[in-house]
This record gives sequence, C-alpha cells and structure tokens, in this order.
Amino acid sequence: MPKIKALIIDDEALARELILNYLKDRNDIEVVGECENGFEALKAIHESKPDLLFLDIQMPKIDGFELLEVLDGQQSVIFTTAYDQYALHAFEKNAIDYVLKPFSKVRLWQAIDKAILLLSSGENEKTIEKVRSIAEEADHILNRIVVKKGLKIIVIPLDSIHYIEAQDDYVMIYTESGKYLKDKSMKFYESHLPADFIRIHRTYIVALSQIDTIEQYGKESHLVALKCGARLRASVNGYKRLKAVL
Amino acid sequence: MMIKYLQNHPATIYVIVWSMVILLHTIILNAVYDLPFILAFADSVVFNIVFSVISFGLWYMVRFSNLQSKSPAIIMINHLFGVTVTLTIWILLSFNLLHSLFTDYPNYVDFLRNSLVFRGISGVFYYAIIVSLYYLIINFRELQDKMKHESELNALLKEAELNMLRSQIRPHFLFNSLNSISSLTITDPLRAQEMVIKLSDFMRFSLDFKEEKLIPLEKEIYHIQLYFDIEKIRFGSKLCVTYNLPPTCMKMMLPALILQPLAENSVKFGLYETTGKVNIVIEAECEEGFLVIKTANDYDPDGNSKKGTGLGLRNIRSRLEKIYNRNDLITISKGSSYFEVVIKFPQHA
Repeated sequence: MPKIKALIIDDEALARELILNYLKDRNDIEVVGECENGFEALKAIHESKPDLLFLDIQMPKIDGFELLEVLDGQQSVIFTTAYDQYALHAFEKNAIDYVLKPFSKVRLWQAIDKAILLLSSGENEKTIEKVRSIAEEADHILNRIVVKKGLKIIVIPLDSIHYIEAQDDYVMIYTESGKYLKDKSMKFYESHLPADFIRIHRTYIVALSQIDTIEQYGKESHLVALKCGARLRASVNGYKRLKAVL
Repeated sequence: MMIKYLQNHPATIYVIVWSMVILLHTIILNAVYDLPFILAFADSVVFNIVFSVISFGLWYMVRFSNLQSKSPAIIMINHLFGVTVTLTIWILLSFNLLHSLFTDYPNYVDFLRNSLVFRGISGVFYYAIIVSLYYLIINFRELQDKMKHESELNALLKEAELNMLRSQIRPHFLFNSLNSISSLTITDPLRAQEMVIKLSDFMRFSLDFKEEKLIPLEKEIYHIQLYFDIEKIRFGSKLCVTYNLPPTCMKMMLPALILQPLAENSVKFGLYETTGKVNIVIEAECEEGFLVIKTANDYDPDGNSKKGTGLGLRNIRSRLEKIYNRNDLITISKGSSYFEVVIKFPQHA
C-alpha cells in the first residue's frame, strides 16, 4: 500500500514540530512538507499533491477556511485549532473532525485513522463541501475575499472592489488590480458583504464609494456610472435599494 | 454626623421645623398682637399642628401627581383642588376647636374671627412652600437613584468590556502556548520548563489585576517582557521586540497592566496578521513630572483583515481619565504601516 502523503500547515514552528513528532511512528504516513501560511500551502499542494492536510485555522492573511475555498477538494483535512468558538460550533454541527490544541498523540492518530477511512471510501470531498457550506451559512460579514489566480492566492481587500457581476454559477469580482473569478453565488455576497455594497440588479453588486453618477435609462431603469468607467444597469428594485442608502 | 442623622430620620426634621414655626407663631401673637401667652400658644399649637397633620396627606398627593407624567393643566387643577380642601379643613377644624375651647374670652374670639382672611392667605403660602419642598425632595431622590443606577450600569459595562477583551485574546494565547509547551517537552524539556514558568508568572500577575492600583514601571515591564518572551518562543525570529528603558525611569509609577492591551494589540495586528517579520518598540522617557511611554509596532499594510474594535485603547483611555482625571494623556498616531501610542503618566511628588 502506498504511503499517505501529508502536509502540515501551521504558522507556529513548535506546533508543526509536534505533529511531525507524533507522526514519526506511523509507517503509513509520509510528511511531504511544512508550510507556515496559506500562500506557501497552495504552492506545496500543487507541487507535492498531498492526500492529507493538517490545517491550522488561525493564520495570517488567509485562514484555514479561506485556503480550503481555493483548493479543488482532493485532500482529506484534519483541522487543528486552539480556540475558535465559531469554527468549533460549525464543526460540531457538520460532523467534521478536528483536534484541539494541545492534543495528545492518541487523539491525533484517531483523527488520522478516520481521515484515511474517508480517503479510501472517496468521501473526503464531502468534507470540503461541508466546509464550504459552513462559510455560506455563517452570518459573519466578510472583511476580505480570497481568490486563486493560477498558483497564487490573492487577497482582495473590500475597499479595492469596484463591483461584482454574476456569471452563471460564479461571480466576477472587478477590482483596482483586475478582475477575479470566484465560485460563490451573488446571494452569498449580497448577504455577506458590509452595508456599503448594494445589489442594484440581478447581475450586479456595486460598492457605494465607487458610484459616480446615476441617470435615468429608459422608462423604468437607471444607469449607474462608476468611477472606474463601468456603466451598470439598475433594476427598479435595485434603484430603490440604492436610493434608500444614498 | 448631625446632618447624616437627620438625613436618615426625616420625621425628626419635620418635628423640629414645625416646633420652630409654633414658637415663632406664639412669639408674634404674644408680642405684636398682645395676646396672653397661653392664648397665643394655644392658637399657634392648634393651627400649626392641624396643618402639619394635613400636610402629611399632601405628600402622597404630590408623589402621585408626578410632574413629568402629567400635563401642566392637570397638575394645576390638582393643586387648586388640594389647596381648597386643605385650607377648608384646616381653618374649619382649627377655628371650631379654638372657638369651643376659648368661648369665655370674647376678645380672643373676635381676634380669631378677624384673622380668618389673613390665615387663609398664609395658608396658601404654607401650602406652596410645603408642596415645593416635596417636589424638591422627590426630584432629589430620583436624581440620586438615577445616578446610582448609572454608575452601577457603567461599572457593569466596563467589567463586561474588560471580560470580553480578555476572553478574545487570552484563551487563544493560552491554548497555543500550552501547545508549544507540549511540543517542547519532546524536543527541548528545559525550554518547556522555562515556558511553563513564564506562563505561570504571567497569568499570576494578570489575575492580580486591580483597576486603580499603581505600580513601578520595572514591574509592569517585567510583565510585558514575560508576554513577549512567550510569544517569541511561539513565533521565533518573526517577532523582534526592542526595549529602550533608561534605568532612571524604572521606579516611576503607572497603573498596573495598562501597557498590556497595547502589547496584545501590537501582537494581534502586527504579528498575527503578517507572514513577514514584525518589529515592536517599547520606550520610556522621564519628563518633568511625567513618565512617558511610547509603544510602536509596524504592521502589514495589506493585512487588510480584522479591524480592531478599539476596545483596548478605549479602556486605557477611560482608566487614565478615572485615575488621573485628565483626558489629554494618550496620543495615537497611525501611519500606513506603523502604529504608535504615547502615554504620559503624571508623577505625584
């Protein structure tokens, strides 16, 4: 049986070292790398194609959840976290396995056995789906959006977003530095962006700060001109929402 | 002592005031109107005691015709009615009592009859004074209640804020530190032991927290150093802390743990949010009459993540205000990748 390839992702060296130590006696696991943040992790995942991720949730710039958002979901994941009430609640609700720092060797091995079982039954992809649905359900307001461009993770600060456009099951995010495709729904962004983002049309969400002028367009609808030059149609309802906040 | 006793025994005040009124009333009747002392005294006692008893009832009337809850018209009508009833009962009762007591003194009965108009007028003043006094008392009590309530609320709020602040950072810090210790027990037991001791010292000091306690800078710095040492064990060379502390400043006083939120903020926004290195600087300076502490950290300009709620800084500000009664002691400056807080602590001679 080929060894299971594992990648350890944690921003603290001692935490990574501990997992390495716990894995020493397991002949079925081969650690293919250690990463201290999400950016390194994406690169390492592409290069060494691990089957199993040990993933810390709290990391600088992009957290464990955001990293998973940009992965294709081929891996089994064991979350390691010290204290994060929101995440723990979500894990419990969705029956996702996690280990709480500090954890014992026995506890980690149990989680690994479970993950291997999921891998061999091909059900590991469900975990990623579950994690994605956690993000969809959560009622917290976003403060950044993480996208993948080629092999790089790009963190988009909200104040650099001009507008978001629906594209089938995806959305296109237009920003200062270009446009990025993201596999999330308009509905998700409508409810998870702060109040200064308004859905003006079935296909558009705009940043209020980016609006230059609004003019009548035909009988019913309006045309919203943005500072970046884009001109977007606003529906009757969209215009109402816009007027309510301006 | 005296005043305190009287505050707690309003009935005593009541008796004292009315006794003085009775005395004054007697003297005036006796000296100005030439009434024999016994008549003057009887007149005074009857009229004033009857009024004082009726005015007990007025208290309840005033209590229940609260100024804020009713329209001015209703209050006016209430008092017109109140003054009419009061005066009628008062004069009828007193007049008949004195009249029946002293029928044998025609001079006095004449005086009694002639004085009725004047008594009516003075009764209106009595009424006005007493009612105003009642309103004042009620207002004063309400104000006291309100102030008490507000200060209780403030204390609660502050405690809640503080608790929240702690619960946000502490558990995360604590469990991650324990995890590092767990790791070190395998690879480097000596350092594990060192970290356990540092963590214990740190927690002990935090538990001893008292809002108003002043301690010397060296103690506060020792605590801050423990905190940074622990974070350094966790994050290694990613964290670089520079201290610039002249020995002459070390004995100067400042509120206990006031620098801790600054240290935690610099770690939370500087260290936790960058993939690179972070520099933190702690500086002290002795100015005339002041200890000046500067803390600064750089932060990743495109960390762009969690914006703080400013709770830590707000808390420091309110503590400074409470302890030193000044609101100009803290200065915050923020550059594009640089955050600096300067606090001046007044030194009492």
